[in-house]
Amino acid sequence: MRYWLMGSILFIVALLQVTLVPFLVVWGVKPNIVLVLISVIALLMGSKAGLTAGIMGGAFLDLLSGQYLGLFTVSLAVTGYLVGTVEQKVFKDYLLVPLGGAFVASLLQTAMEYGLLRVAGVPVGLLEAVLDVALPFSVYNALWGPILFAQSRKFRLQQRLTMKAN
Amino acid sequence: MSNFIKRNRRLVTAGVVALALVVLMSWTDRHRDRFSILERLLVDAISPVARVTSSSVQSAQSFLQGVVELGELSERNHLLEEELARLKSLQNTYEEALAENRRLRELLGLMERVSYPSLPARVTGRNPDNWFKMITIDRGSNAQVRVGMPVVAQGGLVGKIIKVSSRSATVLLLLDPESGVGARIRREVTYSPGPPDSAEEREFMLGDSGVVSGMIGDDGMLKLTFFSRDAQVIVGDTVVTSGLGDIFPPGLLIGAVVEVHREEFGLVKSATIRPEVDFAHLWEVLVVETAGDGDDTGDEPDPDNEPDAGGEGGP
Repeated sequence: MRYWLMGSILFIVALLQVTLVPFLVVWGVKPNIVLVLISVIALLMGSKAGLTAGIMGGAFLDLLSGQYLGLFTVSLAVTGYLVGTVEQKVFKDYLLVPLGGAFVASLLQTAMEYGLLRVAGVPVGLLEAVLDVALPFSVYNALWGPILFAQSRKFRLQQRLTMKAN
Repeated sequence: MSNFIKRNRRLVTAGVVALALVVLMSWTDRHRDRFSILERLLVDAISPVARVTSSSVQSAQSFLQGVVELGELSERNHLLEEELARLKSLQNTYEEALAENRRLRELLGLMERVSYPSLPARVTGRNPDNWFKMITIDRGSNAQVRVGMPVVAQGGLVGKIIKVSSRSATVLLLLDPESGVGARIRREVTYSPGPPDSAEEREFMLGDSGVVSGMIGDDGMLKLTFFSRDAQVIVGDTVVTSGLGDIFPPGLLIGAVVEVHREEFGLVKSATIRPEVDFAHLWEVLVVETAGDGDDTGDEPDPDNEPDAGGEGGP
């Protein structure tokens, strides 16, 4: 796997996440395109790639956001790994796959973030976490799933990431 | 004399012609307002011919030029389109510069109103998640920014510095659920100091205190929780910092009350506040150079020089 390419792409997307994406607020939430891209990579290439992408993307987000270090790394790595486990079981050209993948990934990641925040002592109510963050966030991310999936296919992301260096 | 003329006929003729021409030039200078008779006859005679000739030449020239330029039209069109795109881009840049200029002027105005020394900074990033509300600015410890310093913009309080590196700092916004700013109600009242028909005067009265914090989600509203269940508050009241807690100077504008929550059996009273600052369009801010958390010099702000971000008189 070409880790440098995966890292470069995720770094650029993470940079967009902290600069451009905060202006795309809908239903009171902003999407997480790093998470969506990780779910796309996991769906295309499986658990190992999902885990690697999750660690890289999460680390970049942690470093760029300057908040609880590790919050994104842990939640995105686990999410990438779990989403990747269904890679062999789904028909990848079906629109619902990236859509559902991004939705489930978002729910998983939000649940993990919520748990980690509670452990860290951040007082967030469960009901407001579900209604104000988890659900709108997951639906919004799900809409981004097919877009990033189509772009990844167009860019031949899977082939480029697995291409062996000469 | 006659012998001289005979010997130098050509020279004399040339001199006479030159003299005549000089006289003629001075007589027909270009500022005169009418033609001479000779000129008029000539001009009038050739005018129709000249017009036809000129018109024909112009038509022919246009035709030939068109033929010659036909091949270049496509290229020129392409160049013009490029030029148009470049000008549009320039116009966008110009409009952006205008908007930035306006924002900076507002910031400058705010800088003059905040009586504490302050430092302008640009917003360079925002937090990527939906739990916290933070921004990153391009000033850090190199510019003497310290943890705990308040940040203001657009006439109101933005938040406080919670993390500093050498060239950047993280600001916890008021919108964050973990922010918590001591605040109090400030109400404008009008009264007539003299007879009933005399001019009214305005005065600001300070009311009940509480704590302002953000809420989960991103509807951009704040929550003011009062210390007292019997707090006097109405929609439209202004909310300013109270100065309690030694982080925020008193009198910084926070926002206005848009809704009051009366919970019949609740222990506290609360209100929804629309912040003065438009957090969705925050590009430049001012870091107010108070002592901050990380300062142990014990410098206290001058109590006679209270800040007034709203420019409406101190509390």
